[in-house]
This record gives sequence, structure tokens and C-alpha cells, in this order.
Amino acid sequence: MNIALIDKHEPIIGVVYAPVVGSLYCAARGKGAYKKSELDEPVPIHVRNHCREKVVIAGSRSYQSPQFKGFLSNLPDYEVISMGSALKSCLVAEGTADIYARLGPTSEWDTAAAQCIVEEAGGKITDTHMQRLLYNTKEELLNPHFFVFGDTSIDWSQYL
Amino acid sequence: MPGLKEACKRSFCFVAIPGKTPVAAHSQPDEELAQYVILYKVVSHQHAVLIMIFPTESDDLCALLEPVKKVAYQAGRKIMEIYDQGFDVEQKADNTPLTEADLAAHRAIMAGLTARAAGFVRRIPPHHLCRTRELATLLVGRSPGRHAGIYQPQWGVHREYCPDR
Repeated sequence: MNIALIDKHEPIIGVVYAPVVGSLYCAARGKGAYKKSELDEPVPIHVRNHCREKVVIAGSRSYQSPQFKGFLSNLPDYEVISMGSALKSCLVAEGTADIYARLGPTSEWDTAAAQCIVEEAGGKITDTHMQRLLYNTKEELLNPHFFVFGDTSIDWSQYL
Repeated sequence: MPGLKEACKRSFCFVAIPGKTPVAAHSQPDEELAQYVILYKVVSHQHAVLIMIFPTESDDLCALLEPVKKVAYQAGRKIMEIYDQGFDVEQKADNTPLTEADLAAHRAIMAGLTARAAGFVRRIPPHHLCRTRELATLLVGRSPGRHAGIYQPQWGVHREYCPDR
């Protein structure tokens, strides 16, 4: 589940909780991002700032859109780790994955909480033109296709 | 673990958006309270949306974050209680257990958030809920007059998720 608070089109609080796994990710603007597992104390998390040569992708092995397959085929080398949707962004936030490319439909409530966490962990969520996702700016509540990543020196759109 | 994949896919989300108070037909046009609006989605394809209005006086984000975490944990406990009863999502094609867990978590989240928003909660009737274009219009307050009168002094969710009503 995820809960977010948006202020002036930007997420300022984000909580993503996976009860079965027992992991809670949370962040507040300017206060950092944290992961709490079961009974452990919360630990600060940070994205991987430098992408590995073999790109680690948070994705789905079972369903891959044609666009996503195209994206994969353009990468030099990669591996995919599979995870539930909001958690994919959290894998990037905690530095387990380099990128989560969502090249399919989502709504604003699917990304808001994760975006706060990813940004506080030093990463970004952008559309495929590398522009930051914003909220409540248009008539519909659908997101564009987007990237979640830690290494901001790479133009991920070149692999589309 | 059975049902793990499905549990991870579970997508409860509240997005709170500060906006202008929707202006009802009978109120003064400039009667606008500081507020947050909450969008609520239960599961894919069957989302319920409701608007809860929160006061905005708190500037301390950490103070706001803590109760939100508590609400998430409470809802998670409800989900796990149902999981621990041993149902296996993958064996059920009719979505019944999923709905049961959804409902339990939904109620926990609603109770937690409503406690924070007491007195500031409003409702949109179900037939408006899935019309996201209208909802978005209303959230950003672009044409309050057009939607005047659809607000009621109580909050609620899509009746699918409110079997008690």
C-alpha cells in the first residue's frame, strides 16, 4: 500500500508498506528516506549514483510491454529483478536496482509515495523526456510513461 | 510464500492534494478553506475515490509522517490477519479473498485517516467517482460552479467497498 501527501504538485510525504515482506519505506521532504524491516530500526537508504555496467532493472519478468522489451534490447547488458509495482521504485531508492522503467499506464496515486522516497534517497522519477513527474497538473490523473533511477548522469531516454 | 506476488501488487494508495475547497452552490464564492484532498484507490480497475479534507496548519513534515506510518502498519496488520487465516489468492479466481483483505485494510486506513481529518471530510457520490476527468477538474478547482451541489456533509466510498451501507 502507499500513502502520499502532495503539496504544490510535488510529493512531500511518502509511505510504501509491503506487509507480507514486512518492509516499510518512508520519506518526508528534506528529512531523508528510510527503510524499516520487521523489528529492525529504520535505516537511511540511498540510490546507487553510478550505474553498473550490467544494469540492474526493477521490472516484471512475466509481463513486459513491447516498449519495455525494446528498451531492454537497446541496453548493452542487464538483469531484471521482479517485484510488485510500488516496491520496484523502492528497490531503486535503496540502491538494489539501477532503474525501473514503467512504459505502461499508471495513475498518479501509483507513483506519488514512491517518488517522495526516491527523491529523498537521491534519485529521480521522470517521464521519458527526462522531465520530473508532477501531480494534479492536468485534467486526468494518468501518468506518462516514466523512469525511476539513481544515476542522473545517464540519459535513459536514449535506450527507448 | 503463497500469495506473495499478489500481496506485493496490492496497491492501496492515498494521494493527498492541497486544493481549494469546492464551492457549493449555497456557499459564498470565496469561502475557501485550506485543505488536503485525498484520492483513494483500492485495487486496479475498481478504484474508489474519495475526498477528505485536512487542515494544513502543520508545517512539521515528520510530525505528519508518523501517523501516516501508523495507519500503514494498522492496515498491514489487517491484511496479514486475513493472510494468516490461510487463504491463497492464487486459488481464487473470483477475487473474494482479495476483496476481504482489501476491505479490512481499507477500513483501517479510513479509520486512521478519518481520525486525523475529523470534521473536514466530504464525500462524492459513487456515480461521480470513476469519472476521473470530472474529479480532476474538481480537484484543481477549475470550474467549481459546474460541480456545485455534488458535495455532501459525509464521507464515503464506492458502495462496492461499503457492504455495510
